[in-house]
Amino acid sequence: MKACDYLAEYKSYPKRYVREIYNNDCIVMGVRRGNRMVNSCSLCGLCGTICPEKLNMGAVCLDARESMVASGHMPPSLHEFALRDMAFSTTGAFSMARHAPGFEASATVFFPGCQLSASSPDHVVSAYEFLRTRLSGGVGLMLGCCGAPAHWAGRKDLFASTLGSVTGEWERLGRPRIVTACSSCYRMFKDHLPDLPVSSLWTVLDECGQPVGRSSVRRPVVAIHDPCTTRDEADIQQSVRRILGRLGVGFVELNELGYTTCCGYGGLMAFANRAVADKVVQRRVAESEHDYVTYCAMCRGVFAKSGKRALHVLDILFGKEGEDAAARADPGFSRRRENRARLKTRLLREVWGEDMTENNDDLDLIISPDVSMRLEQKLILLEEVREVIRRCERSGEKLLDVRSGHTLGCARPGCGPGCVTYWVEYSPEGSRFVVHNVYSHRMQIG
Amino acid sequence: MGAEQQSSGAPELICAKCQQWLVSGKVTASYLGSTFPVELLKCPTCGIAFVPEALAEGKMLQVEQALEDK
Repeated sequence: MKACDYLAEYKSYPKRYVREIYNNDCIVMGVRRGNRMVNSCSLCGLCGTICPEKLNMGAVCLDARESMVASGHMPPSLHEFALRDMAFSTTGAFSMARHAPGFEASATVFFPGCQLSASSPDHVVSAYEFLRTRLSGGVGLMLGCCGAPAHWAGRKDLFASTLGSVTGEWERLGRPRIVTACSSCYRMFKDHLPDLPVSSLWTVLDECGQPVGRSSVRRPVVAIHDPCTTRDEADIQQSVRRILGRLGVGFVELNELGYTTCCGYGGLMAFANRAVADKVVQRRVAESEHDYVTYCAMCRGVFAKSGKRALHVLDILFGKEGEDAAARADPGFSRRRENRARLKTRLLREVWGEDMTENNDDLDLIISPDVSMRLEQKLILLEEVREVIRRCERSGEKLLDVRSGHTLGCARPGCGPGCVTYWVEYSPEGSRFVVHNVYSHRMQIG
Repeated sequence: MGAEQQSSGAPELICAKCQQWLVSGKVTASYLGSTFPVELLKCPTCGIAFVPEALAEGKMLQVEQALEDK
């Protein structure tokens, strides 16, 4: 109980939680008061590692989520944003699978994952280039999503179809070994696609020789945060330590290697219960004064958002000379999506020599840091803000606030039970639009 | 009623398309199969309604979450 803020949040103990979750799942008519509790767990499984009876609340919660989805009782608002983000990563805007230029076969395919591509696209380019110089037999590239958000959301159908797409592309590339940069992707493939030969980028770099490294470590000692998904992967953890050792980076441990903890992103907990997720990350970042180093893009992003100085191992291997990478801000949800699309365009242009023109016809927005923060907190993307303004300006269906002189407009892109109405308060400034406020609701007004 | 006819205490929102002041009126709010009558400011001509931020993030959010847990 002491090891987990989620378990502590509900002020009882696992045996009782299991009963509550079972009861919640059995309600036919009435209020399902346990919905949020079921969806607030990170699914990291640390409880099962610590518990003398090996009771894993993550497995209990995942099973309950799958049951809620199957019976149509999963609240749409809890995972809809993360699943839309995942859907973007599986579209042609980001997804692709190719042999290396000049190759008609691949012995290996690099799978950087959606979140590393979203937060550090430069590192993906560098790592892919490095792997192509070090590994023989052709190193292909696969951009896409491993399906982890669907798995965590209890969406067995979506998870299966996502894994099916990955398998199809892997077979099309000639069944190469998959090298993942993200330990969640590694976990998904290893646990759910046993036919796929999967390796971690860290063990590969450890074996084939790593880059010399740059001087982006500003402090003499860093503390290692192992992603929770590497808890049973001692070889990956040790490879990272050897890589850091060869680079001359001094490090301290935050915990025993078999007891890795979640950063606050796992299991989509932050989308279902931000208060608990905040407690998880605050607890983790308070464990050491040192800068943190990790090898999961989401862990690094969560720490950066909380104000903790944190590095990704790729920052050390491929970072810009002289850059204080530990101070790099999290790009935010909108930029993450934009970065993915740009990464694909850039790779096609720079690696495969294709003539790619970027789409620059987006509405130009002026957004203050305050509004930017509200967009992030309210899970509203710039793309949705642009869509509202575009629709209002095209149709003329908008409101004018005579007091402020601002325009107010709304739009409800998409359809289905999870769709959202977005309101934007804005005003034109030349050819651009100043965004003054944003908010949303799910109820449909008509 | 034209936009120039605003009186003291009247709404400060105008429908840009119809050039009408928004007035209080009944609209329908629905979510997950449940429907409720709600009093909102709306255009008397085209019916476009305004949902204030405080309502969207307050009472409306509470009702949405209650419906999701049913």
